[in-house]
Amino acid sequence: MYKVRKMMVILLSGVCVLILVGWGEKSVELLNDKPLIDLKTAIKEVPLGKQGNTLIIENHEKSSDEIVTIDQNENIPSKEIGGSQNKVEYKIIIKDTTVTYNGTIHTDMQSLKNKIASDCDDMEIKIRLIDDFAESHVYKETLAILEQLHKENNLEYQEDTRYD
Amino acid sequence: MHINKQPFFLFFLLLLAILLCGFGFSKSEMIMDTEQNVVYQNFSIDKVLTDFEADKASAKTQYNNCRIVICGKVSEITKNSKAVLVSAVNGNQEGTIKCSFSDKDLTAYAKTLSQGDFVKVYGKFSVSIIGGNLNIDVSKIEKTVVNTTIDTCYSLLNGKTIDRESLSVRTLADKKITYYLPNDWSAVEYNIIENDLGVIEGYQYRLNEISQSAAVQPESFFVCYFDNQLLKFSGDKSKTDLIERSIIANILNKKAESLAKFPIKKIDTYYGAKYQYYQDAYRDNLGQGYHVEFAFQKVGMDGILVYLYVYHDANHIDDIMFLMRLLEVQ
Repeated sequence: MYKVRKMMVILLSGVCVLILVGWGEKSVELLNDKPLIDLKTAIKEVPLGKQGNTLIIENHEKSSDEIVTIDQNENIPSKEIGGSQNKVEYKIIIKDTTVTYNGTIHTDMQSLKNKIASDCDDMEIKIRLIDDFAESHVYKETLAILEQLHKENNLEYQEDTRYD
Repeated sequence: MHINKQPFFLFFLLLLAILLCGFGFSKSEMIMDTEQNVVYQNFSIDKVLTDFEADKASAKTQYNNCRIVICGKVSEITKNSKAVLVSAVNGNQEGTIKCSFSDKDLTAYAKTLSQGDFVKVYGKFSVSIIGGNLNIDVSKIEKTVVNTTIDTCYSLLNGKTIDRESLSVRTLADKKITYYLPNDWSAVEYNIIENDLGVIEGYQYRLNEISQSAAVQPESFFVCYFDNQLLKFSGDKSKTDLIERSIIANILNKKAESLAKFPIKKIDTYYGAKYQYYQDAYRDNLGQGYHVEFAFQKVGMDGILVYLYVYHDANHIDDIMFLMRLLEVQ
């Protein structure tokens, strides 16, 4: 009998603790009720062709749905107006042993190859390979990747020693 | 007097089931989990060895328990292939770092290595208590031809690397918070107050607008600073959990009482930051649903840093991990 009562007391105490833990304030009041972030305004679907720094060129001499990508930001040195056939041009800059592709350093050649191949699949690109006092073995390896992608994916590229 | 004990046991079993269910639900998968997407800092092995030779105590403070990437030359492979000793690239610096494998695949890979190979090693650096030997608990090892690393670079296990020095800088909270913008992000940056997107200080990054992503479905990352002056009562400043609940409720337009368990997860990261997480869903006017993840980081007693990720497909989680890893709070 005594044991049963003791067990009841323990159980009820446990339930009380659980209730008390969940009790109390759930929030504090903010200065005003305006949304800190208005998700309805901020989260909107973007019409095709209006993403980011991509503009639709309205030029009657060209096809009306022709899209080129332009660089609106000087901090992205590796992207610029495409040359022939409005291809987007990306730079690979090799300085010493550091390989920078489209502003991202790649220390793993396989990841560099995968990234370029993926970009080739997504859009028409051409690559400008810039030798900024590159280590020869790194330059050769990068060049080999471009040659391979040229054969496999018809990637257009050109070598350049001029850094601008 | 006879008392039927059966109801008590049933009640006890019910209570136990409720508790177990609670534990089960609390194990949520967070995409912004910094422990699942570790960012490794690049170091030159020559510099690490030089630093330890110059001042062991100071170097131990700097490197111990850091997640690092080093490139070095294999000087020895243990007989069971469970470790390799890696030495300086140029061979001018004495000493080695023992790179140990606990994973079978890594051990198998180690068997393909030979003395003199250049390798890149990702892992957790430590200094052994006895003998002060330098160790790396390896997460990934690979042969490489690029034999140098830059100390300002950070890498993920998938090989993606960024150089902090080449990134644009943003500040919040009167320069108490500094962070670095991944490439391409400045083109899709929107100041929240200036663009009437809300009243909190910070920026929205519409990641689906980055031209290369070619994604139509919204994917946005917000970096914001909640100043405690936005509280109605200044006495509430110390109630961090309640403030964070109120921020979530305000943004998701819900009642704080109706929110699920908060925080869903707490992480004391390997780089010193402490986050509290919350996970929910958001449905827009067209009925399109999105995953919503919050991460909160306290900024002294003055305010709270709020990360908010709204996504359907998390295409830019790598960049988000770099941003969170490199963010500095004074």
